Amino acid sequence: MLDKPVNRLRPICYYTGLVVLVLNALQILPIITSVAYAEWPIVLAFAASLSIAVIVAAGLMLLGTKERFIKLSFGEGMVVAAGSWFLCMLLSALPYYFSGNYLSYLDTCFDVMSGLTTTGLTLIQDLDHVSNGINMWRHLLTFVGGQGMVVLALTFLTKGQGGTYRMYVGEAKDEKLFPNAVTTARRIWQISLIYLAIGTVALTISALVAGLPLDRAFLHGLWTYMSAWSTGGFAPMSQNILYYHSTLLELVTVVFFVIGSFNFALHHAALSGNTRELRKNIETVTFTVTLTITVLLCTLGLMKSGVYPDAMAMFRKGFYQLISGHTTTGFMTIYAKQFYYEWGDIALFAITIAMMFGGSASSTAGGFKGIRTGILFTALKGEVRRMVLPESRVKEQKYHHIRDIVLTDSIVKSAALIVILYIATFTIGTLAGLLAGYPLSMAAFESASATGNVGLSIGITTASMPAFLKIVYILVMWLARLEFLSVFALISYVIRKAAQVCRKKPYSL
Amino acid sequence: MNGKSAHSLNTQGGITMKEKIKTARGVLLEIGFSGALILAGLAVSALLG
Repeated sequence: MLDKPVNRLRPICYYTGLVVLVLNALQILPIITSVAYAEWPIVLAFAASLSIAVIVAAGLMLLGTKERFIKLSFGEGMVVAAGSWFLCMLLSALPYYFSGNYLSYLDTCFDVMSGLTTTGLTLIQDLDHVSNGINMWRHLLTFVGGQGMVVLALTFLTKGQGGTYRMYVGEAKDEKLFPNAVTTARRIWQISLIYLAIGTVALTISALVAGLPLDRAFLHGLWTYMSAWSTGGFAPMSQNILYYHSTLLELVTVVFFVIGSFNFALHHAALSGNTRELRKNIETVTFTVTLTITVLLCTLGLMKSGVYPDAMAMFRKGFYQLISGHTTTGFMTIYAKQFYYEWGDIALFAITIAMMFGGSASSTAGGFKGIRTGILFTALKGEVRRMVLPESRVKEQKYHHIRDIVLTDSIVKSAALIVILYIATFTIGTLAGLLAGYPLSMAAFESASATGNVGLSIGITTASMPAFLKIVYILVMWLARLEFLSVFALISYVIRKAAQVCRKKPYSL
Repeated sequence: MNGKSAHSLNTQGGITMKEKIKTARGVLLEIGFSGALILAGLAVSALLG
């Protein structure tokens, strides 16, 4: 299909334009927020940004409007997903840039990619005095990015439009809750909106108890929920969750970011009456096991360093950071530098490993994902049994994810491939940190955070870090969130297109 | 009035009361799972910390 780019480019443009349009139309919400708080310069910044985004999106859609019913191939669906993420980064960064809260356009792109990929690393200046409009945009981006902006765009399509499932898969969500991708996308948003209502109320009450006035409590509750559910990690204050000094608020955030790290297929099953799925699913089982191991390791490391004198401090600092890292949320109740100067190597190692494991596949979380860790462990167990037991006693390996699935070589190969790509990306990120002059433990921690789309920082991610490191982290976050293949498809597509143009050049001259 | 007609009377926007109960039970179950992990974390911190 990719061999006919002249004809096939137009539907790609149409769908990319649609995703850009739908995402940027959400700028209406920060505009309303800014109007409510009389933040007029920010209203202007959003109005200008929205106009530019609409012009670009409308141009792309007009280019391919006649061809929008052409069925996209899997490669083209991936090109749409990766391309629209990249274009959305460039366009959604404009309000940040016009607001004057960032030192450079690169910094704004970094923050948008961090938000959309639900990472949560930030380069914003003076966050404690940022307008409500900009804060609304930051958290909206992370909320939509968690569900997927292609998923959002699909909810506006009719069921008959071509190639919707291919675009859906391109955004690293391969669970079909219903036979149709559009219905699946709508169900994903339905689940997210159910929890939006519950989470916002719970966190608003927590913020009120913590001492915030009602309007601030509501906004902070809404934004913190958006970040928690999306396993994002952005917070409206520079001290992140530490700002509130509230055990209640910390506990409520844990509830919602743990639920947010679950697979949407699991949510769908649980919310449709299949209550047994939660304890049988390979991802929840794997998550419980890896969380237990890393919590024990982290607690032992913190005991050795002696930094937290009592059980409550150990829980609110050690356990909170660990589970926040494991679910790839990135909420923090300590200062970034405390990781390096107080935690010690064992606890740092535990949290770095936890960040790599991550949450569930087809969720808002990042990392290897529980399903892959579980599959590789099950395969390893099968290999050991095959070596130890007589052939007659070796059964076929199965795992449970919504239904019992026979573990085939192709499933193991696919899981191993993605895990290897994650490790390779993590290594490149670590190497970039080392080249920038940071010690190994810091470089590895920050790279694991960017690769796992986590957002915990050991202090490297600041506006003063080298530009090349910002670019490396942007690429790492993008690659990991889309699970590599879509970005590779986009790069391959661009190279092939460029080669075709080069080949045609002599004839056109 | 049998059970079936009772459900149809409670239908709002295409979602039956039975579905709402299933959803509420699912939400409570997920919150419960999360809460259990928090308690386990607290226990580990108390035992080792």
